[in-house]
Amino acid sequence: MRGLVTSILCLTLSSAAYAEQPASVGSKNTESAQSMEKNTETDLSNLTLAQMELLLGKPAKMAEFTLSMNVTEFRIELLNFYSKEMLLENPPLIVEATWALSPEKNKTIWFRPTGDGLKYLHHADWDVGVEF
Amino acid sequence: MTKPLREDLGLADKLKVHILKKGETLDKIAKKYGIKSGRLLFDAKANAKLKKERKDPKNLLPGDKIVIPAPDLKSIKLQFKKDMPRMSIAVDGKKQLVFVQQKWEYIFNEASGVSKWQPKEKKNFHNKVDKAIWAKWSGRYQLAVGGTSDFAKALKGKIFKVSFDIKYVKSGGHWKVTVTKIPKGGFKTSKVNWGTQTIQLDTEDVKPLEREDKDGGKHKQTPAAHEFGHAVGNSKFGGAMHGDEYPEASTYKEEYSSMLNIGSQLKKRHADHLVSELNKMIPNTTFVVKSVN
Repeated sequence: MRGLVTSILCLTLSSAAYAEQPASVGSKNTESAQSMEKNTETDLSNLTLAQMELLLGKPAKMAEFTLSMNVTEFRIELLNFYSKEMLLENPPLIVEATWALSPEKNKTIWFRPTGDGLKYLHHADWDVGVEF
Repeated sequence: MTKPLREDLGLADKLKVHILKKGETLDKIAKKYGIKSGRLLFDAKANAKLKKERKDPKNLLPGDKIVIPAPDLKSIKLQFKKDMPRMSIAVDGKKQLVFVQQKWEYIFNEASGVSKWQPKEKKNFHNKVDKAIWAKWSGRYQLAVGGTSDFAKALKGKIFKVSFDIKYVKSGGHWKVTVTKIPKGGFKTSKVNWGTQTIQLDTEDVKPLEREDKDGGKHKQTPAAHEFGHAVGNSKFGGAMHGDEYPEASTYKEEYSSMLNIGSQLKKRHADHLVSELNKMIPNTTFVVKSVN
């Protein structure tokens, strides 16, 4: 964990985070959700938004949305965490936070509200030069 | 018996007739129609009747009908090709076809818990991508040609169709395409990086995905065809300098049916980069999108 904190703190934040694409919610309910998870940076999954802010600072961009099947490509991996029925019957609220890690790299983390605050759901590290 | 070239091209239409006005010279008329000199125009077989009547071009009178001979297509270059970093374009005037090809160099990987790619699966995936892109993009654009070149004059009024093809290559690809095998029904973000010439797809990207717009309208889109739209120049980082249309900031955010939004319809603007590159290929020749379906 110390290694993760150190490496993240060394990143330079910029103000140019991608503005369009938000975050997610939910409890992982499928195998595919876990197989999609390419979290090579060890354990972000135990962190709340507040803890994340301690590591990365304030996000450059935040958004909140209700997840549905009509999600944009950027947020599409969030559908791995919910069944169609869940999305229809009880569409989850998602909070999306994006940090500019460098002029070339952004990190977006999606959180789901819980009784203990916003909990990590999923994340994406992406190049500023990509289109979805 | 071999058909005359002009008929091959569908150019066997009526020859043009120019009615001489006061003050006009044969040289001026010849220049207007891309003929080297007034003398050549006068001596053309098509003007034999006029020549018989007037004997000398100096005797021409206002009102005389001058037939503009058909261009000698045998002497006109009708095929052009250029290879660019992200695609190659071939123009075939004889077939009235623009052929756009991208060579894709695949990197295949798997999400955890999914079986390894088999050679046959890789080939099948490529075939499905190629088919999806062909179905959504090819034969949709109708281009008209204009300009002062012999090519443009010979093919004026003709419609060019555009075909898009993906070629599977082992090396030297225009694009490096990473394809992740994911569980059926799973989701993975697909993306295109114009700058690094990289594409990320997954095995679900060849299946149509239905989305609903804010007004309840339903739209189907095959993600691979959408991502191809970026690779063919709809990128805010290059090419046409315009990319995704669903973001709030997009001028076209409410054109849900558009391929670069959440639908499958191609728009004229989606060929902006292609047309821009075409218009650098043949001197004094301009292509415009006449229609798209």
